This record gives sequence, C-alpha cells and structure tokens, in this order.
Amino acid sequence: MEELFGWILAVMAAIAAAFFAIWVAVAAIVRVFAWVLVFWAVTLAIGFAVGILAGVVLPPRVLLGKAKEKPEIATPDDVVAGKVLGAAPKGQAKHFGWDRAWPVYNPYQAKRDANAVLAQAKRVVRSAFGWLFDMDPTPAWVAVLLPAFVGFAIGTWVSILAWYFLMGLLGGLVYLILQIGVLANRSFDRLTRRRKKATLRCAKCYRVTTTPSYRCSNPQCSTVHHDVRPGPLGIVHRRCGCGTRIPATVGAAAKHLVTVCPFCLQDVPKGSGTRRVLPMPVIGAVGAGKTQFLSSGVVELEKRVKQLSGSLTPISPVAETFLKTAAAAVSSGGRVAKTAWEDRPEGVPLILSLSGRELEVQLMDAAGENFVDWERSQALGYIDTADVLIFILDPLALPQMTELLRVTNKDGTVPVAQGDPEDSYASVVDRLRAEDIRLGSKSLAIVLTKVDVLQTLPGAEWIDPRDGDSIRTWLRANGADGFVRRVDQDFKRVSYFAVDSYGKRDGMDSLHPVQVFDWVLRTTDPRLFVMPQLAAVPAGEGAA
Amino acid sequence: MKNNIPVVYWTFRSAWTVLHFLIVLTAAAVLFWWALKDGNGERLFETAKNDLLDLQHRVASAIPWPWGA
Repeated sequence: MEELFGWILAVMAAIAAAFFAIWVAVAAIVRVFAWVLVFWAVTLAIGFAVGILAGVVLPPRVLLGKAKEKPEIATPDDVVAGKVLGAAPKGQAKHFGWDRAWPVYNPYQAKRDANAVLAQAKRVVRSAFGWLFDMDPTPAWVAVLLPAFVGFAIGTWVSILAWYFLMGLLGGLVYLILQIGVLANRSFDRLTRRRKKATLRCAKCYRVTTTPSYRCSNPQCSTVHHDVRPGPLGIVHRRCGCGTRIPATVGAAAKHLVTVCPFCLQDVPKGSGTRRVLPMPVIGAVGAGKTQFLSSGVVELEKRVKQLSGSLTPISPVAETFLKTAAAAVSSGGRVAKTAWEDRPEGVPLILSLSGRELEVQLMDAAGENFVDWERSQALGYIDTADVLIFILDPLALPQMTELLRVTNKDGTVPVAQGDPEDSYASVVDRLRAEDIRLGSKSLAIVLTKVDVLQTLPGAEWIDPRDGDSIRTWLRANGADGFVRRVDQDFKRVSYFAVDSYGKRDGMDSLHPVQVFDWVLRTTDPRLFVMPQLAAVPAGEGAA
Repeated sequence: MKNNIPVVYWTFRSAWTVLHFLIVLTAAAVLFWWALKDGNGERLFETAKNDLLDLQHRVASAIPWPWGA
C-alpha cells in the first residue's frame, strides 16, 4: 500500500515537474518571440526604406538602358504596322496609312518606357524572393528575413507606383501642351495655305490635293511621307524612319523636300501645294489653232510680265521645252507643230510672279483628237476641276465660212479645223453635265482664231475684237446661232474673243491672244492683270 | 540618332530622370524639414519605439513565469 502511494506521489511529482518545465519553456519562448517581433518590425521598416530607395533608382536605370528590362521601342516599322498609332490616320491620309517615321516620345514611347519600369520592378522583387527561398536551410532564413523582404517589396512597389502615377500625371500635362502645339502649328500651316488658295494640281494625273507628299531628303532613303502635317509623328519636325530630320508642315517641307503627287507618286515642281494653281484648259477641234494660240499668248505674257517687273518661269522640263519652242515659233513667224495625240497630255506649269503675288499657271494643251467624243475627253480630268475653260473655235470651220473660202478661192491657203466645232464643245460639256459637275461656277472664253484670214472674207469685216457682243452677234449670224444659245444655257459667265495667233502682232493689239490670258488672270484674281484695260466685254450674261 | 533611337527620346528620358530626382529630393527635403520642426521626427521615432516596446512587453508578459503568477 505504501509502495503504491509512493508511486502515485512520484508520478504526480513528475507531472508537476513536467508542467512546470513546459510553463517555463513557453514563458521563455514568448519572451524571446516578443524580441523577435521587435526584430521583425525593425527589419520590415528597414526593408521598406530600402525598397523606397530601390524604387527611386530603378526608373532611371531602366530609362538609361542599364537595367535588364529594356523598353520596347516604338519603331517606324511598328508605326506603319499600326501597332503604335492605331490602324490608319484620319482624313485624306487614311488611304496611305501611317508614314514610316518615329512617333513623338510622349505618349507613345513614354508608355513603353513606363511599362518597362513596372516590368523591372516585378523582376527585382521576384528575384529578391527567389534568392531568399533558395537559401539553405530555407525555413530558418525565411523566419529571420521574410519581414525584411516583404518590407522591401512593399517599399519598392509604393515607390514605383508613386513614380508611375506622378509621371503619368506630368506626361498627361506635357501631352496636353503638345496637343495645343500640334493644333496651333497645324492651323497656322493650313490657314496660310488656305489664304493663298494653295493646292497641288498634278500636271500628269490631273488630281487635286491640299496635302502633297514629300520624299525624304536622304538620297539613300526611298520613304515618301504622305502627311507631313503636325501630328503624332512630329510637331515642328519629324524623324524619318532612316533617321533624317524633315519639316513637319507643308509650308516648310515644300521649301526643303521634293514634292510628290500623292495619287500618281510622280515628282512635281518644287513648292507645289503652297501656291495657287490656275489651270488653263484649252478645248477645241483638230486644227482649231489651240497650240498656236497658247504659244503666241504665253510668249507675249512673259514679255508683258517682265515689263511689269514680274517673271514667268517654267518649272518643269516640259514647260521649258514648250516655252522655248513657242518663243522660236513667234520670233521666226512660223507655225508650231501640231500637238501629238496623247491620252493624258502633261500640263505646262509656269510660275507667274506679278504684283507681289505668285501663281502657278498650268497650260493644258490636249490634241484635238481628245475632243472627238465623251470617251476621249474623259481622261482629261483637269477640265472637271478648272474654274476657267477656253474654247478655241475656228470660224473657218463653220459651213458658211468654208463655202466663202471656196468661193473666194482661198481654201487650201490656211488649215481649217476638222469637223463640227460644236462636237468638240459637246465632247467636254455634255460629259461634265452627265457627271453632274456644276458648270455655273466656271467661266468660259470662246476664242475665235484665224481672224486675220476671216476678216479678208466678205461679211466678216464688222467683227470688233474689242467687243465680245459683236463676236457673239457675228457667230449667231453665221451659222452658229444654235451653238451660242447652247453656250448661254450651259454657262453663266461667257466672254467672247477674236484673235490672230499667227505672225508678229503687238501685244496691245486687241487681236493678240495675250488678251485672253489677261482675262483669265483677271477672272482668277482681279488684282492680277497684264493689260491696261479689258479687251473684251462679257456677253451672254445669266442665260443659264 | 543615338543607339538607333532618336536623340529626342534620350532627351526626354534624361529630363524625366532629372525631374524624378528633383521630386524625390524635394519630397525628402520636405520630410526632413517636417521631422526637424518642433521635434516631429523625434516624437514620431519615440512614439514608434514606445509602441513597439509596449507590444514587446505585452507579448512577453502574456505568459508569466510560474513563480511570478
């Protein structure tokens, strides 16, 4: 019994001792853990501070290309592929897509840089934890350093996100300022050209645009920039994909770059698109005297412009040749060769500088074969957009005059236009009407050629070339009554002229073709003229 | 071009970096000034230290020694 009691006492003492020992151990552990908590709090704070500092240093390292994470670059090829600025620009340039050029830094590259900073922050934090969890023995290292690393991660992300949002805010502000710059420069460029009524009229494909294309100034680069106006590719300048800096306005680009027609991609004269263009389309049958009229008129125009301290300068090889040939023909008193039939003849561009103004005159001389029917004249798109039309009428081709020539034995002494003059008129005007092009806004000059021969025939002596009404009356009296009535119905503004393009005639003579050129200039801009007074009186008012 | 990137990109990045450091330095200066003013920093440190030691004490005394109970 005593032995049993002794055992029980021993067991109880052992339990009490064990309980006491556990208590002491747990109390000791709790005291140690309390200090571990302090250690964790301090290392968390230190880790946080280190993370903040890392977040300060990390963006500059990424931006300067010294970090592992490199920013994706918004390259010109990406721009063309639609990965930077969207699929295509707005307006006329949408047909060409984006030009191959570097986008402005803010916001396109800035966004990519910022994303690289975020990626680098992720990489740094991940690699820090990767290092910790790779240590051996992992549980011990994690138990000691995890709060420090958590503090570091929090500090880094707080710092990086603060940078991200602050820079986003500042970037947005800079973007707004840049947009104001784009709007101002773009408006200035557009208004300057609009004030001049500047357009590009391609002398080869006849299309009209206010936004010409330009070749990169680097001879090794074949890039054509279709829309150089201020925008996401540059505000004052843009950087071509080849690295060459080029102007970012039409006005500035026209001074330094080769201009290209955006439709046919042919080079056009320098400065095209920054000045007003006056197309002078000449319509008439084969042999009506169109080229002779233009040659005689343009040579005298050049002479008169020089007398007025201006200049008339050819700006294409075709124009140089035309002017030289015309001058040679006029000085020798010879006839110019018949214009060869081409489906789409190239225009003759000349820069007219007069009274402080600059105008690009485009003589559009198509062969008479182009005016045989609708289909042939359809290719002459310049007629559709011209404000002034010049119809060359050979009065000797009128049946009554042809008969008079025969009766007076003068047939064969002078070439007579082929076919009915009204047919060549109809080939153009009927087509324009069918295509719903407004004729009311166009001015028409009816020019009777070969008047020197006509005046030798009986019944034509009373044509007064200074009086458009007398020419109109003469036409009505000599078999062209229906034609005159038709013209009156088609056009609101019609003027009649009588000219002699052949031989040497003084420019002041009312029969000289330069009178028609003067009328065309005055019709386009009342402040532009080369003759002291109007040679013809408008007729056929308001009949349309 | 510099490293096949337009120079203006590097200019913007440098400007961004300078601006970034200026902002950080300004923020640090403001924080430092605030810490010095009226002993704010010292007070904050003391408060944090006391709170932490108080926590340590509470945890440590959560389980008393057997002979102190």
